[in-house]
Amino acid sequence: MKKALLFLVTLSFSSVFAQKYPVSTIPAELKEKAHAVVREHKTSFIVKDIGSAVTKVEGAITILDEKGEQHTTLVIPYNKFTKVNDMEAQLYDETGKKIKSLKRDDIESIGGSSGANNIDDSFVKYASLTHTKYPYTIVFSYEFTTKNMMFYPSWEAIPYNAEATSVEQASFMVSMPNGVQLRYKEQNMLNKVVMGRDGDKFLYSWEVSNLKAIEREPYSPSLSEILPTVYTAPTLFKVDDYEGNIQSWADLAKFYGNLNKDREKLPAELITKIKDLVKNETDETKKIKKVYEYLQANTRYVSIQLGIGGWQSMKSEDVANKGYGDCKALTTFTMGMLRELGIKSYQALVKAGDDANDILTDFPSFQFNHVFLCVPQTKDTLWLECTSQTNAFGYLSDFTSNRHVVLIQENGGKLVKTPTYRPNDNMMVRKGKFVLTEDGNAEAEIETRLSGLQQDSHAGVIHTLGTDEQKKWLTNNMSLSSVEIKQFSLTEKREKIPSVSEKMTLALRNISNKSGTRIFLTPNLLNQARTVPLPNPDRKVDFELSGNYMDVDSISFQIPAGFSSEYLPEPTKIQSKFGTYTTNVQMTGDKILYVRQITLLQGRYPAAAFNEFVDFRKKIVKADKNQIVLVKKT
Amino acid sequence: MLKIITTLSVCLLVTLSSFAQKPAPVKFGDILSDVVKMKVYPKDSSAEAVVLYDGGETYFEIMGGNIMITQIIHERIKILKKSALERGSIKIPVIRESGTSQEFLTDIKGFTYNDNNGSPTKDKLTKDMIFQEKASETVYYTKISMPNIKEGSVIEYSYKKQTPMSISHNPTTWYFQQGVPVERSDYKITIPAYFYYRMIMNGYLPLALNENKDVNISEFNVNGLQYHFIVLDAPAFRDEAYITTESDYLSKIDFELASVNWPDVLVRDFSLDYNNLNKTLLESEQFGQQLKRNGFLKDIASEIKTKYKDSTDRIQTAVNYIVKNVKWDGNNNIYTEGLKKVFEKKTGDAADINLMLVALLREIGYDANPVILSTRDHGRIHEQYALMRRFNYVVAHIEKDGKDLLIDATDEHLKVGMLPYQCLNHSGWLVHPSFPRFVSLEPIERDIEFEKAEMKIDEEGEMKGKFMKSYAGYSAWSARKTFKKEGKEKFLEEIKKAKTNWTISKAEYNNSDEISQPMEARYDVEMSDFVTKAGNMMYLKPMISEGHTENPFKDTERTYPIDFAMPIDETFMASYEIPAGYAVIETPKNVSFALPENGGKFTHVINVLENKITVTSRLSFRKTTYTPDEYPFLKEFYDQIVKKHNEQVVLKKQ
Repeated sequence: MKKALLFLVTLSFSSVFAQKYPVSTIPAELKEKAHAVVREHKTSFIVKDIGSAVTKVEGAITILDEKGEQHTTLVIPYNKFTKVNDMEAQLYDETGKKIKSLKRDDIESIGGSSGANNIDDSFVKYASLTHTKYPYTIVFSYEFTTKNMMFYPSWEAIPYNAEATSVEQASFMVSMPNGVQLRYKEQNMLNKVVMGRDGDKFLYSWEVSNLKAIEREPYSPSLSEILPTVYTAPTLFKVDDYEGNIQSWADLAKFYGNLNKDREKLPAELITKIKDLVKNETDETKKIKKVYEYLQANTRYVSIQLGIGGWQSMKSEDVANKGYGDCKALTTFTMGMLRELGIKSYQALVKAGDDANDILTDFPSFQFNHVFLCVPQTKDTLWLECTSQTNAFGYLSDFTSNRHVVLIQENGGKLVKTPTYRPNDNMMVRKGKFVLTEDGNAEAEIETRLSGLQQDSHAGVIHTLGTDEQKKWLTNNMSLSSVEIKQFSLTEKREKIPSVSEKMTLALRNISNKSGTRIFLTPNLLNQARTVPLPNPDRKVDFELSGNYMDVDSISFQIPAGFSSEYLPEPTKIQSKFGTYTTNVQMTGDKILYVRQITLLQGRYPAAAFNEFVDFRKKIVKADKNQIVLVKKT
Repeated sequence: MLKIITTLSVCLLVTLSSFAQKPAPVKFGDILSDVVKMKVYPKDSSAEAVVLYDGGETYFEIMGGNIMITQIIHERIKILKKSALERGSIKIPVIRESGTSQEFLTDIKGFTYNDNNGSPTKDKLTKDMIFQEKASETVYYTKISMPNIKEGSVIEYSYKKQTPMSISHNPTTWYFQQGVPVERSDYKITIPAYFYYRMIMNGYLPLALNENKDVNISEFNVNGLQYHFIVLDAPAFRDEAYITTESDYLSKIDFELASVNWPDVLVRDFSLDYNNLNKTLLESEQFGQQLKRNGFLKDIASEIKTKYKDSTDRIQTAVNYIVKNVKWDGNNNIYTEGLKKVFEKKTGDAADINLMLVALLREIGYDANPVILSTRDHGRIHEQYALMRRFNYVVAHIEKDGKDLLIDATDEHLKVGMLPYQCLNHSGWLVHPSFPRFVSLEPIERDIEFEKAEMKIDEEGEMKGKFMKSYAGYSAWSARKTFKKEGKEKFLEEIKKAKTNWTISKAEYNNSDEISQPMEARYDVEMSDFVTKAGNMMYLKPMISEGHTENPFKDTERTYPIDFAMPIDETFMASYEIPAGYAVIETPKNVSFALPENGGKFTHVINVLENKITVTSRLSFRKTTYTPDEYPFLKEFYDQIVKKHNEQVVLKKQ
C-alpha cells in the first residue's frame, strides 16, 4: 500500500514574488546553523467538491551553502488521479538579480518505481535549478489537481521537516465548499487557525514566522513529531466511484472494508485443499498455523500499486492462480482461507516499519502503509504477516509490533494496539569457553541463543545467505583482531517469540597480549559497548531509547600454565532508570569466569536527563574495557 | 573476416581443448523432472538459485528499412531458497518512441514448473502477468511476474528484443557469470560480413566451446560468421574488499562496432585502434573541436599571463579559475555539450570542466592536452583494444620538466598533479594531435598521516597533554573535503564521537584551505582508560590514537588482487611523563618487519629515559596493488601490527 502522497498547497501571490528577496534582509538569527532559509512559502488546498481539489504552492527559498541544495529540487509525484497544471522556477543571485528561469526541457518525468518486483503506475515530475555562487534564491510555484480525495495534505511549517532550514514566513490555507466539513489537527503550532469566508466558501488559515533552523539531536523523536504541522483530513469525499464520510476510525474502517468488499472468494479446488490440510487438526491455533505455512510455501510478495492509489486489493482467486500479490492481496487471501475453516480474522491497517512513529490516534485518517492480519482467539490474539515467506508464525518483529492499528470489522472497525516485546523476549544468552595459550592465541567454543528482536538479523542470515556467506558474516560480525571459524551451526526455532541458536568453534589469534612477563586480557571480547553520545547540557528535546533487551554473557578462560593473576577487575554494578549493568570476574584454579549482564529499557525521557544517560553509557563502555593482568610465576 | 579471427585468438579466455563433443542445444520446454525435484544444487550447496541455462542468440535483420539487432533470450532458473523468489519477477527496459531508436519486445513466453509428489506441474505465463510501466518519456519497463514461484520452482522464459543498429548501440555485453552459479551459459552471434565488431573477452573462466563458422545470411545477401561460446559451471561471483569494480572480474564478452564495409550503402571505419580513437576524438564536435573555440577564455588567459610570470603560479591560477567558475555536477563523461555553454551555465561534468581547463592552459600558451581514463567504479581500460565506451572521464595533461602532470579541476582540494581516488585506475590515454600515448595514473601522492602526542600521567592514571595530527596527500584531500563540507564544529564533533575516552578542551585546525601544506589538527586533551591502575601497579596502553585494533583481512583466502589505489604512510610518535615515584618495569619488545619485495614496512619502538616513555610506530605500504599470492603476507603483517598496537607498558610504584 502506498504512503499517501501528502501535499503542500498555495494561493497565488505573484505580485509579492515579483520582488527579489535580497539576502541582506534575512534576520541574523535565521542564518544561525542554517543551510537554507525559507523566505516565504504559501500552500493552499482548494477543495472544489468532494471529488477534487487543487493544490497550489508558491515560495522563495535562499540557499546559503551546498548543504542547502536539497531545497533546489522540485518534486511532484503524480498518477492517474493527479494532473500537474504548472511548474515554474527562477533563480536570483545574492542581491536579488535574476540569473535564470526553469525551462520546459529542465522538467523531467520519471516513473515512480524501478525494481522488477514493483509494479506501479505513479510518476514524479522533477526539476532542479542550481547556481555556483552561494547564497542564491530560488523562487518557485506549482499547481496540481487531484481526484483522489482519501488524502488531504499535512502541512509542515518547515518544508519537508528539513534540518538546518529556517523560515521567515510560511502559511497554509484550506478552502472548503459549502456543506463539506474539514477536519484538522494542529501540532506544535504557536498560532491557531484563523477562520473566514469567501462567498459560500469556508477558509481556514495558519501562519508561522521566524522559525529558527533546527538540528536533530541524537536519540530525538522523529522531527515530524516535534515540528509545527497541521494535519488535515476529509469528512465527505470521493475517489473513483467510491464515496466515504469519515468522522471516526470506525468510519475509516468501513470505507476500506467497502473498497475491498468481496475479494476473498477462493477457487473451489483450493478450498478442498485447505480443508484437507487441516482435517486432522482439532486445535484452532494449529489449523491457523497450517494455513499460514501453506501461504508461506505457495505465494510470494510482489508490490502492485495500481488503481485506487494502491488501496484496493487484487482478488483472492487471482492470488490463488498466480501465486503472488501485494500485502492487501495476500492478507485478503489468507483471510479467505481462514474463513473457509470457520475462523474469523480481520485485516489490520498499520504504519509499518522499524523506525515509523505511531499514528495520530486522535485523528482518523489514512496514515497507513501496510496491512496484515489479526486473528482473535479465546486466550490470545494472533498476528500474521502475510507478505513474508520466512516470518515465524505469529511474530510481529519491529515491523508491526508496539503500535496502534485499525482493525477492519464487519460493520466498521476499531483502533487496537499490537503487543510490545519486553527485555525477556529479546534476549541474548552466551556461554563461551576459551583456552588461552601463552602467545596470545586461543581456541574457543561459543554458544549463543538469541530471541525476539535480537534474533532478527541472524534469522535473516539463515534465510538469505549460503553456508560460505553465513560464515563470512559471522566472522565479520565479531570485532576480533583475527579469528577463524572452524565449525559453526545456526538453528532456528520459529515460534511466536522466535529464537536462533548459534554455535561456533573458533581459532583465535592475538586475543590477549603478552608484553614481557605479563599477559593482558580484556575478558569482554565478544560484546563490547563502544559508542557514547556526546554530552549536551543545552539539549532541547526529549530522547527516546529503543532498548528492551537483555544480554547475559558467561565466558570462562583457561589460562596458560605457569601464570597467575596479578590483577582482576573489581565487580561492577551500574544502575539507572535506563537499565542495569553488572560484571563479575572470578578465578578458580587455572580458570577465570567472566559474567556480564545488561538490561536496557525502552522509554522516552526528558531532555534534562540526557547527560545522565551519557554518563550511564560512559560507565558501561569503560567497564567493558576492563582488563585482567596475568603474570608469569617466578 | 580474418581480422575477427585474429582478434579472438588473443582473447583473454582460454578454451578447454579437452572438450571433445559439443553440448546438445537446449530446447524450450525440455525440462527434466529431476531438475524440478532437485532440492540442493550439488556443485554449490549454498546457492539460493541456479541458472540452469542462460541462452542468448543475436542476429541482424532488416525491418521496415532499418537494420535491427535482434536478441533472443532463453532463461531457465531453479529456485532453491525463499530468498531467491524475486527471480520470478523480470524487468526488461524497452525504448518506445516514434524515431529511429524504437525497440520491440515480442514473443514473451514462460512457464513455472513445480514438483507435485514426483510429477511436475506446469503453470503458464499469461498476459495478465505482464505489466507495462512507463519509466520516462521514452523508456518503458515490461515487468513479468511469473506464476506460482516457490522454493523448488523451475522458471523458464524467453523473449525477443529488437534494437535498431547504430554506432552507439552494439550487441549487449554478455555475462557468463552471475551472483549465483550458472550451469550453462550459451551465447551465439551471427554477424553479416558487412559489419566488423571487435569482441573482447574478460574474466577468469575457461570456455567450454569457442566455435565460429561461415554461414550464408540471405537477408543481407552476404556471407557472415557465426560465433558460439559456451561456459559450463560458472561459480557464483563473490565480492571481495579492496577491488575496483565487479565488472573487472566477471567473465563476459563485449562488442564494439569497428567498421562497416557495405558497398553502395556505407563504407566506414570507426574506432579501430588507439590512433583511430585518437583521431575520432580530435575531430569530434564534442571533444577536440571544442578546444579550438576558446575565445571566451582569452581575457582571463591574458590576465593570468600579465599577472604571473612563474609557470607554477600560472597553472595554479588557471586551475583555481576553473574550479571557482564552473561547479562539478558530480557526473563523469568524456564529451562536452559545448565549453562556452558550460561556461555560461557555470556547472558541468568532468569532461566539460577539464576540457575547459585544457583550453585555458592552451590559451595561456601551454601544450595542454586531454587525457581520457576510466574511473575505478567504471572498470579498467584495455591497452590492447581501443574501446571508446571504456572511458568515462577526462583530465588535463601538460608536460612539465619532462614529467607528465595530470590536473583535475573538478575538486578544489586537489593539488595540481593529483587525481581523485576514483581516477587512480592504472592508465589513461593522452589525446594528442602528434604524440598520443598511454600515461600512467599511478598517484604521485601518498596517503599520509602523522600523529604526535605529549602526555603526562598523574597518580590516578589519568592522562593530560597535547595531541597533534597532520594530514598530507590523499589523507589531507579527504580531511579537507569533510572539513569544508561539515565545518569545524561538526568535524570536531566526529572526532569526539570516535574517541570516546578523550575529553578535548581545545581544538585548533590549520591549513584547512591551504592545499600546498599538510592540514593540521591540534588538541588539548585529557584521556582516561589508557591506564589501568591496580594497587601499586599501572598498565599503560601507549597507542592512544588506538592505531590498528582489527585486521581488515579476515578471510582465509583471496581470489582477486588487493587494490589500495595509493601508497599509505602512517606515523605515530608519543611521549609520556610518568608520575613521580613510579618506574617502568616492563616494556614491549621493539620490532621492525617488512612485506616481501619491499611492499611495506612496520616499525614499533618504545624507549624509556628517566621519567619519560617514548613510542614511535610507523607503518607504510609502498605498493598500490598486491597480488592474491601476497594476501597471506598482508594478513599476517596486519596480525603483527594489531598485536604490537595492543601491547602495554608496566609501571610500578617504587
